[in-house]
Amino acid sequence: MSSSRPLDNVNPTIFAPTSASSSSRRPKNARALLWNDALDNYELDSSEEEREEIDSQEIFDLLRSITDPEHPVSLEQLRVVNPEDIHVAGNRVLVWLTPTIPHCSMSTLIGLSLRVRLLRALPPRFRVDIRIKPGTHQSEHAVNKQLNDKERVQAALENQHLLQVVEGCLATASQRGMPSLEVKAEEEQGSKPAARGTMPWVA
Amino acid sequence: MTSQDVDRICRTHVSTGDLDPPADLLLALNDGSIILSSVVKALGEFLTSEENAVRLKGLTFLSNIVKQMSPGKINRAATQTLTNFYTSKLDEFDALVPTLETLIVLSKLPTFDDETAITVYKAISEQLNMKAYVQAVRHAVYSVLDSLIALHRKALKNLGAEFLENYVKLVDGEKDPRNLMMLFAMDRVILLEFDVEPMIEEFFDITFCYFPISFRPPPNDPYGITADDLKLSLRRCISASPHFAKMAIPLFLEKFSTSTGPTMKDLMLSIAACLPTYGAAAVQQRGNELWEGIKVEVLYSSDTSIEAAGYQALEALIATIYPTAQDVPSGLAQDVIKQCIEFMEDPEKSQAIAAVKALAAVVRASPSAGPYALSQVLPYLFTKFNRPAVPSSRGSILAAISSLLAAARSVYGAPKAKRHQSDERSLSPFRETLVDVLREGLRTEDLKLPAAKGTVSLVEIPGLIGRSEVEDLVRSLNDALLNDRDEQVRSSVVQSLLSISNSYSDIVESTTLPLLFHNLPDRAPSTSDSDTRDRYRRTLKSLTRLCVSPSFSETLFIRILTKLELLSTAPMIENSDGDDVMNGEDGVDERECNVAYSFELLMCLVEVVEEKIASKHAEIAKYFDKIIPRLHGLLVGAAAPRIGLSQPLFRNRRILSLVADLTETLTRELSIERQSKQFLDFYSAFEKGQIVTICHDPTQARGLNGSPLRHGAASAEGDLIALYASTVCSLKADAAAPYPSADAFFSSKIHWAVHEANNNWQLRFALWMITFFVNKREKELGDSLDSILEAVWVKEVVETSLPLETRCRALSVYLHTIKGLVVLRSSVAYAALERVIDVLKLSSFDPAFVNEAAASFGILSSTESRDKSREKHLSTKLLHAQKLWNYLLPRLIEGDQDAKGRDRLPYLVAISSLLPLVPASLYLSDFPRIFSLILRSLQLSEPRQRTNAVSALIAILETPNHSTAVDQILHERAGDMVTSLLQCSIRDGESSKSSGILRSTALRCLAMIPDVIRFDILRSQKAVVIRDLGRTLDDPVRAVRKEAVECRAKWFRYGAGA
Amino acid sequence: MPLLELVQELPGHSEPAWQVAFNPSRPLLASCSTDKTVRLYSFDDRSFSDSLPASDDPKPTFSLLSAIETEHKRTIRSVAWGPDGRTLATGSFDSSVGIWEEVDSDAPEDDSEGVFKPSTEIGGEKVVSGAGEWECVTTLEGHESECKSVAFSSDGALLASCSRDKSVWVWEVQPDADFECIAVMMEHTQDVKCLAWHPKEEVLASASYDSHIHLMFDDPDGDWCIFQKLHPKLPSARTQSSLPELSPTADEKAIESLNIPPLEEDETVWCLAWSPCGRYLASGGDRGGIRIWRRKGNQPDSLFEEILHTAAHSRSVFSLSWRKGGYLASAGGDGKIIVWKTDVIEDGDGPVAPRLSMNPVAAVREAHSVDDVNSLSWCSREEGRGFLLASCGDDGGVKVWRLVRD
Repeated sequence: MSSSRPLDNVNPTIFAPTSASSSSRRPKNARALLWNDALDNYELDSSEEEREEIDSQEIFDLLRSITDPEHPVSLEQLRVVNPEDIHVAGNRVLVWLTPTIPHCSMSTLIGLSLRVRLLRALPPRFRVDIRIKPGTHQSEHAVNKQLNDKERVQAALENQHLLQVVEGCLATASQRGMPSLEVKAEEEQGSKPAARGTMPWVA
Repeated sequence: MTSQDVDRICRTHVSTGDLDPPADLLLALNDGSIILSSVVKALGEFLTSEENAVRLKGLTFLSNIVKQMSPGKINRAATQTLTNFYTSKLDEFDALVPTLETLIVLSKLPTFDDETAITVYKAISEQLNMKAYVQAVRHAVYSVLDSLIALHRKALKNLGAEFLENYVKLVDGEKDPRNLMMLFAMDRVILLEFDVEPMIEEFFDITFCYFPISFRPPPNDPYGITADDLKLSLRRCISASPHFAKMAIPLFLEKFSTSTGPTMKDLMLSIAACLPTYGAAAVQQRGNELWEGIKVEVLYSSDTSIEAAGYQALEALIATIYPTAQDVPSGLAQDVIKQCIEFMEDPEKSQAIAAVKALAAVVRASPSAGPYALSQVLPYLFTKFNRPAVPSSRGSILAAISSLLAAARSVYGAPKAKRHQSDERSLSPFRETLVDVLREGLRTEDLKLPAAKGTVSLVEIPGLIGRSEVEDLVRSLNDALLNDRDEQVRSSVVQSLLSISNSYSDIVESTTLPLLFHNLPDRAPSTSDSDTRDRYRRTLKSLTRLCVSPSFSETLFIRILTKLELLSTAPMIENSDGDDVMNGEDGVDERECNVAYSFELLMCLVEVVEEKIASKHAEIAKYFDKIIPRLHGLLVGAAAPRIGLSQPLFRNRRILSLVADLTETLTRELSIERQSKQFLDFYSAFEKGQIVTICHDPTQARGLNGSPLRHGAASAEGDLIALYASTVCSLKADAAAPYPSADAFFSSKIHWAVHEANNNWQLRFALWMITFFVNKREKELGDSLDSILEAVWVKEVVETSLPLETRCRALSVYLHTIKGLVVLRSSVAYAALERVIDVLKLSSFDPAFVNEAAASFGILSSTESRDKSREKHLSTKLLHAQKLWNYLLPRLIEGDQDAKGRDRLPYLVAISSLLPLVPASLYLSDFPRIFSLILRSLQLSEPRQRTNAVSALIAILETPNHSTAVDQILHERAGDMVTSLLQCSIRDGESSKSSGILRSTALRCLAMIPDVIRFDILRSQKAVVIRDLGRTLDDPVRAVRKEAVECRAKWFRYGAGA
Repeated sequence: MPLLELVQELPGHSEPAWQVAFNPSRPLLASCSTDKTVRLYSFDDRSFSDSLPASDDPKPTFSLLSAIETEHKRTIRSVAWGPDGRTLATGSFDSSVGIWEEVDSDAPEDDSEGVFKPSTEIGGEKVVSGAGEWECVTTLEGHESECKSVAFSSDGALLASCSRDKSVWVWEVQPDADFECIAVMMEHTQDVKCLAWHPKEEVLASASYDSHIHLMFDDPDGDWCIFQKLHPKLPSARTQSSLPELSPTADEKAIESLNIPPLEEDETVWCLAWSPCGRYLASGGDRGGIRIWRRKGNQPDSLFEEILHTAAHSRSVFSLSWRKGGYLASAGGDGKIIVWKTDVIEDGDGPVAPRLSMNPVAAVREAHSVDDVNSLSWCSREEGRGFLLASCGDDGGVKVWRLVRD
């Protein structure tokens, strides 16, 4: 049950997740403002689809429910990713991630999980830059360089062990802030997708 | 049957080795024509034979007889002899199984007395060496013991120590789960009923040696014994005797250090189960150590289920030591509380949260320690709350207070609570402070949520706070309700108001409601003024939840109607021509703001009504007259012709549809008599032109002369069909009809639909009216139906001289009539359908129309949720869908096969339009053919038909454990399936060729493939699928993108495990 | 100004393609990918012009010769041809190096040259009939982790490989596919991204994540050793260019609003390219700049110095290829391919190579639609032929371009 190495952060502060996808900040045209989405039933003709751009809220929804490698809680609950730390312009995405503690050796793994999730969930036209929030990690710059080396990311994805851990973290990603549906399963074998050893891909 | 016969039978059977007793023998035994002893005598020579084999045969034969004959026929003597005989055989290893089986039977007989029981028991314990036997034999032995203990307990008790000693020896070392289940049950009985104290150590050994159980059932274990079954029954027996305490508690303590995961959880639950029986005295001694063990888990375990079990253990611990209000909460309780309070030093840490839960457990546990805990922790929290180290921590502090209140509520506020606040007075000293804290919480950002939760608990604790305090709190709640922007906060505020209104509805009604209504403006705010708009939306949301409660509903309805009437006088200048809602561009004028506002007001009313109906509020019908006439009045008034460009609000079709829905829902709730009256009123309004009969206020009908359905009536008047239709649709079949002749009435509606309806919006209502009318009045219409349908078909549908549009209208009238009939499985309907099927042949002559005809089968299988919910109210006969499907499908398939090239298309269109009609299970029967049809349908151009095909696929893939045949076909065609689904999922260029629904459905289906198709089949395609899905991630519609993401994630994982 | 025109888009890989390489002596193009295959394309090349072709000159036609399903267990990161064009080396993330040879290439040697073979269907894709059967003759084990680059020396006598394990290995090529490791250099502090042999001499350059470039040779009195460790110093100079492709797009402007902080650590050196004359070495960096290093003497171990640093791409430069006539092609994470003209600024000759100027002369945006361009390769076969440039990208696509005069 317990992971073979001591946890980096034994008892992180856990925050309540915010109510699921509060996309209220999205800009709408005047009519959309007036007729809120709930009334689609009464739309008289299904209007021609207008493009809903991918915004930071949508990207946050992709990331919020990824599970922390050490604890059975989401990155959102640990405030590792925050809506206001995600920025989109054109085909570029910038994500700031905030490690729970400055010496967290999991940061690279968390970053990798984010990277993989976005690699899989965003259209290929997007270029993603992941950065550690300045001053929140001892080896901030090293981790940044690490996370943005596409060759290493590719190699990491071909490392079965590492991939398993990442898949473990991503398994919950689809919840998008909604409460988990299979609490049962979790309860039985208890704790977490345990990440053992140091990251093999950290040179 | 003579004794010779018996001899013969016995001899032949034993010698031939056929040891099944013949029926006639059993018969003879059962009707008493021969007695068992004569059989025994007949078998004598074999039973005593020197040859083991022969002896065994004889014995087994006898056993089979005993097992099969009716128990009543074995008299006391026979029982004696047989028992003695078999007991004497216990030492014959080979004979053991039949012997034991027979003893089981015998031991259950009424003629089997205590002495016999004892002899058997002694024999078993002296002669059997359990270690030597296999599971089945041991199981048999235990079964004998079980029935002895069940039926001759007293006698065995009298054996005293002797019994217990032997028992312990017998069961020692058992490992098999099936046997253990049995033993644990026996152990429990013995522990409860026998004097085990002198032997307790031995019993400790034979029970606790299994604790904690770590058992993994074999993959497909036929006995289906789970780890939890074993844990539970072991728990029941180790918690059976207080004498275990001395040895058990040290064991528990020792296990704390060694257990993890599930075993730790088991340990906690076992402690929770045992301590109460073990009793205060014993537990007290090791109380502190137990607490230490529990503490570690609840504070540091990352496994929520262990943590929860920990609190149970703690609760049991405290409850055991401090059971009554008289027990002084000194010692352990003091320590626990003290330590918990220390952990609360930094309230945001996860330990602090755990500590609160621990204290809550204490509160629940004991009428003495509980109040004491509160008396200690609440003041502490209050000071912290008023002078927090860091401001941010106040939220957690208040949350702590709330969860303590919740615990108190679960003790005092439960339906039939044993403990009462009025006796314990644990919270009374803090009453005012609590109210103050909560009030402040409700006023402060980030504190409202816990405050609202706390308030609910506080209010629900009987006899704690008084009216004035409630008023206080409600005032703060109202404030939060009106001004807070956080959805969660508001909804829990509403929750507390609701629970308050259970006991103080008048307070809520006199303070909260007026405030809320005051927040509803008389005129809609402009588009730019989003604050006001958000406020009225928040307000309506709250009202919707509050006013479901009977005490508030009426007020709400009246207030909303008044607002609507006010709005109806709003300026009517129109920025564009008639069809306001249609105009796509962003130019939104004041009028539309008012329309939208009115719509949301109505929506609130509708939701309350629906909620009340859903929760079966009896009084609902009485609101009909308060609501419906006034609304109809508004709409009629708006429909009246106007001079110039003015466009009254209530001409808006969104509003019309909504009111129509409401009319339908409420009319359904009316009595037959009342419905008949409605029908009459509407009849005279729409057929005789006395429109005033449906108005609340006569003046509203001014300017309207004649029926809204008359030829040449203005479009706005025609829109009123919505009200007529919704009324007719909601009538029960036996509501009195106002018209002279049903078919005349029906024909006139058909005529109106085909020739008079101004547009599709009006047509849709007319069609619903038609469907429901034929459906409810089939009998009345009788034979005329046939001729009416034929007339429509011949004179309109296939009358090529008519414009295509008219023909298509007639066609959908035709099918909507059929729709009302097929659900009754009426022959008329099927006959009428033949015409439609025939016309499909003609695609080369009349392509546009035939395509329309093919698609029109979709009318019989609605997919839209609103249509479906309406259809629920049609009267139907069983299996109508299946019958229709089985009727149409073969014909369509035949047509498809006879046709060539493009001429096959109509049949495919028809089939795919029909697919939603039935569950997948139905087409699994004829799977190979249907499946290829579905795959072909994925190539059709019309998105709706492709959507049907995909949905059908989903249904197929969803149907659990379909046959191997189906599975095989699925695997054969998997490649094509995936390719076509990909095509459906990707949106390129012209949107007419695709739809958001199609794409998201296709993606959902594609996401199911990895669960259904073996990886090796699609391995080669995986990379391509993933690459192409990359394009779907960029879909313009957000909802589609969501599906795309999940689907692609699924495909990334596909085969990754292997 | 010349133009870079698309000659043909080839049936590419199902997963990202990492490197393309033109066969130095036969009309063959090789590409490798994460899909663990190597694809070979043959083409007919009739243009012998030594100067830029015109865009209406006949274009060569490429077609898929074969898609080799290799034994590699992970991404094939690198492919390299032996100078004789008969041997192919593959470097894979599974840490091994594969050596490939054509089976029964009894097909007449030179006259088969440039003869375009009619194509047939195989696996739904055009595949040239006959030939193209390649087999793995040996696998070189030794690296502890992902092998990232392989390269044959100019005369084919040596093969070099490098890896994430920070090491650079030099193998001696012996008869019948026997390879012997003669040197292992472990002086990089991070993974080694790229290797490049001097076009004429046995001098090897390696580039690494540790932001250094190492130069090594076979010390006559000793073993293989590193004789210089280059570390970039020059600040990057903006390029003035009239090329419309290089002016920032609306999207790129929008992106500036994010002001994404640059990576603080020294930048990875992703790629290297020698000038055909062997007097200059070009390197491409993670921040999108191209640096030119010149050789200060004509000894094997003459030192190099940095003389130029040009801002080129808006993201990492992943590949450089330098062609006779001073055409240096660069490509990278911004999806652009840029062709630079490098000119010697004569200042009296001597052992020290003169200074150099470089200017963009042609470019394409979104060369592989939205995806990164991972590799470029000029067709260097028979000096001055065709001006063909191959590229591959994360979309798995392989494309051939041609530099034509305007």
